Amino acid sequence: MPPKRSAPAKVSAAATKRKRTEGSTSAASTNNNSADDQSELQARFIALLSQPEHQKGITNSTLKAHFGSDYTNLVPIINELTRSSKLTMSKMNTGGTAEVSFSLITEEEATKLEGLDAPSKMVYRVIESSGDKGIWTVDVRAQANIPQGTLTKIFKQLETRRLIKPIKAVTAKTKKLYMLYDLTPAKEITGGPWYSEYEFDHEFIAELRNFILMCVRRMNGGHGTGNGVTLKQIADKMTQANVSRVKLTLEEVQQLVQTLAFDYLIEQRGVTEEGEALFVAARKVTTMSEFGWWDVLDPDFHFRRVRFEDGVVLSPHEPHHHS
Amino acid sequence: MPNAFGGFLHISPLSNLSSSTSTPPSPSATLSSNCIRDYFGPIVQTVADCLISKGSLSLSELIHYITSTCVRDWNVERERLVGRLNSTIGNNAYYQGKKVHMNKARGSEGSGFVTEATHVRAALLVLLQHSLVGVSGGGKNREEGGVSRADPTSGQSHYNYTFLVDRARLLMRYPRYVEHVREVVDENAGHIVETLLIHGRMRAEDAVAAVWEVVKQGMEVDADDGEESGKDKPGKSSAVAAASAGDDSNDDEPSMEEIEAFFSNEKAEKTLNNHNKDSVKQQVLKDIVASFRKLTEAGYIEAIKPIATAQEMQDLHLKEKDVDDGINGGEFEIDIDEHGTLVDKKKRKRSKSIDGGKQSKKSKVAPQESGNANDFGGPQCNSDDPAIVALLEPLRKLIPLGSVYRVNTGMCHASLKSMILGRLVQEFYAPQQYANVKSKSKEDDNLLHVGGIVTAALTFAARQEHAPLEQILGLEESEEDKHRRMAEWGAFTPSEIAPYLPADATKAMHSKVGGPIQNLSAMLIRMSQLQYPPIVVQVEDASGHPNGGKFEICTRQLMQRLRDRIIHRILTTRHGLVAARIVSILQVKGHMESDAIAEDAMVPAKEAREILHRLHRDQYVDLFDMHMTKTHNSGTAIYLWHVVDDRLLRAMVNDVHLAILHLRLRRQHEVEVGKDWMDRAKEAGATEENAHEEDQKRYHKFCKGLERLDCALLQLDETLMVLKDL
Repeated sequence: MPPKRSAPAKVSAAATKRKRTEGSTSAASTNNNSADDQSELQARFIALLSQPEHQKGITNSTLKAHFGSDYTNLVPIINELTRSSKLTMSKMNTGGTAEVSFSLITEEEATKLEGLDAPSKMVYRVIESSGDKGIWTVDVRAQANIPQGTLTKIFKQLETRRLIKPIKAVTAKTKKLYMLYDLTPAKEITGGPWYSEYEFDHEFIAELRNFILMCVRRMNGGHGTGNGVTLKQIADKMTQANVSRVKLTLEEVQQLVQTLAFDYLIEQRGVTEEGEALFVAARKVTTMSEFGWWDVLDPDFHFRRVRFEDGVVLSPHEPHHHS
Repeated sequence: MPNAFGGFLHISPLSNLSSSTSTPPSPSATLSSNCIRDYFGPIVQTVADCLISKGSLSLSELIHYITSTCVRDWNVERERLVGRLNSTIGNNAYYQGKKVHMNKARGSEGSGFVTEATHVRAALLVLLQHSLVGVSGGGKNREEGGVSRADPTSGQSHYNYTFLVDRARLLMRYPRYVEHVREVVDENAGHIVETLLIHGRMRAEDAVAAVWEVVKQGMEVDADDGEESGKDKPGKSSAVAAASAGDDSNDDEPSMEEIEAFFSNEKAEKTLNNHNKDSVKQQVLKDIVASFRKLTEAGYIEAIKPIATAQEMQDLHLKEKDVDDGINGGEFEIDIDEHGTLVDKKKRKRSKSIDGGKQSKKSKVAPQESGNANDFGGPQCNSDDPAIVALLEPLRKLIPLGSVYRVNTGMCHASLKSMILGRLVQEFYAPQQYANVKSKSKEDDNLLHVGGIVTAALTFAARQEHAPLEQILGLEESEEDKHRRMAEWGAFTPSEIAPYLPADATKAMHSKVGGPIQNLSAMLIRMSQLQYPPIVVQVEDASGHPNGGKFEICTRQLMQRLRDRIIHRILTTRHGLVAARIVSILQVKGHMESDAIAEDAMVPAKEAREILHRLHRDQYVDLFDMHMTKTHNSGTAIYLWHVVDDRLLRAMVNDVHLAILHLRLRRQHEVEVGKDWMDRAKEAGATEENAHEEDQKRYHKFCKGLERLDCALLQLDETLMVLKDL
């Protein structure tokens, strides 16, 4: 990200300035002072990586083309920068072939990763790439190609240094996921307001649904009457009544209202001038489907003892009595 | 004592069900077969099952299939001996001239095993009489009009019979039709419909006579009750009698209430036995004929082509005296050899047809079924009650002489639909508690009778469809008029539906400024503005319209709304509220992944997946498997759930069929098992000394169990009617 690249940019600016001031004398002193050459080459290298088009990384072939005969002199510079956690190596896909690429690391990040070995840094990168959705440990192992024993140690080390944290997803509570320490898990992982401590909060939802239903009834003056209430009005009423311990967005309130509509408990009765739906509590309708004794569909129904609520019993029939 | 647990048989040798526990491939057909057995017996069920399994068959094919399935291998030597015995039986006093019969069937007749061609034909006639089979085909000879005419004596003639599964299923709904007609027309109309349903089809004269017998029996029972109660409470009885007598003296034609009052006391009984008896009969018959007319005009009963005309019946009678092969109704005379199999080579043309072989095959088979030529005798029937004939005489334009009637189930359904949708709309839109509380606004007033208006409009539409006056009266109708009439089915003007409005709605509109038609038009315009759900659409703009506009009820949308609610309710009671919600979500949103469904239904993903799989097992939802690679890989495949509305409805209807079938079988078995209790209860009723407290308790328990099953069956049939038949 551009703001994170501010430190190398400064370095690059300094190097360019230095290049400009020393530009007239550099040609004369090239052969005499190799140390100066190295530092100049390093400055050129950093300046190149700091350019916006190479912020995501620069491939090895590009470096070769850019530096020409000086390319071989870059090796110690790259090694030094990598050792000091200022440079990172990765594989970049260019035209169907994977190639090694280099990119600079911010000062802040470099401080964080200082002292970590290459495998640890690689694991960190893999976890970082998963963003706020986290990554399963098995996937980390597959991507980093590091043995489980080493990986466990690396996870422990990164956790101790508060670089990563373990999380669990509501969809798969047995899976251990890792994500960067500073990030907040995504809604898909935590389940949003409908989950508390990785458990679906049925009671909370039932309470909210009941409140909305009551709210729609009262605001309309009964079942199926009134002109209807909008989603916004319902959400405002919920905020006003402080029924939720977490702040619910309009989308989340809509989700609740939709479930009530799907259950035929509330129904749309019109739209406002702005096109917003107006809801009323659904009226009771004679559905002509009072039957609820669906055990009769079971193949062994004929041989079952059936007991009705008021104690009337149909005795079971023996299977062999049927032809 | 009958074996309580034995002999429970509900399938025929040709049923598609091998045992009571196996799930039938077609629950609808199996249910129909069970209904046939219940109403007409095992032999008719065998014929129906044969037609169900084989499709469309001719009589000879039907006989061949059934007899070849039911016949058993028998000892030829034994048969020879029986034949020999029968030839000498006249000389043996022991047999008293009766022939010895060999049982050639694999099972008993009670189990539906038939080997006699005459039995098969008779069973087919029962099905024909009750309109449970469709007939197709005919002779190749064409008359001037281009209509194919039957010629049973011709080798070219060929009739095929197809079993009407959905019609047979309606047998269990007959009581509902009777009750409905009784409610919307009158008591006598209920008796007429009941009589027609029992007999399948009848002449108007016969139907009226049969209903008179029913009413007379009812009166006699009432009179007996009145006599008994009169003995207990002489004061009251004499008071009623005196009042009735007084009424009678003032009026030559007493009303039904007065007549019933007569029979409830001794004095009325005496009056009936004297000269007044005839006048009472005359009055009752008049009422019955009036009800018959109402039913015809309303389309609840329909005139159909008789199985045989009077002339054909007469011809057949003459023929029956000569032909005794028992197969008068076939397109060929079929010989059956002694082994019970048909001998094709012995087919010969029938030569005894009086009218030159122009009679239909159906006409030839009719008398065998009815057993009485007078049943379909037509104008020549001398046994017709002259009083009935005289009453029907002025109505000959509407009820022609010798016309045969049956119940129009289509009209019954249409009428039931109008009431159901009227109630639905009333529940949706009518202001609540309007009976007690004064309505809040003028707009509410307009919606007070919303249900009644919908019922009236749908009743009008049903009449247009099932009982157009031109058709009833046999008036000529050009093709263009017919097309226009068909195109306008369902559309109505306020003045057209006004006669069908309930009394309170008519009264309310009369009392308002502007007159009834204008007010009705205003109400319909207001109703057409309601969109959740829509009730009425304006076909022609009401403003400036000479008849106050033209409207149409949104029947399809309303029915869909009702069906959706039924499906939701069934799913809720069977799989729970979340399952019903999931199906609703899929119906609205189309294809979805299980996680997205879980989010919308607000349930954990795991629970949603479990429910989806249960619904998939019951064929309520479908799974679309989208492969991302050429080879199947469950890891990369995308699974999308969706609902196909037709498939969902079909699955639901199948489940209802199966549930009804299981309940009926259970009930039939319970009755089989409970024969003992019923017998004992009868004995206990006959003599006090046989009454036993424990027996009575058990009998009541048994009756209550049956009541529960009956109640469940009624509920399911109601659901099935809305899901499939309306």
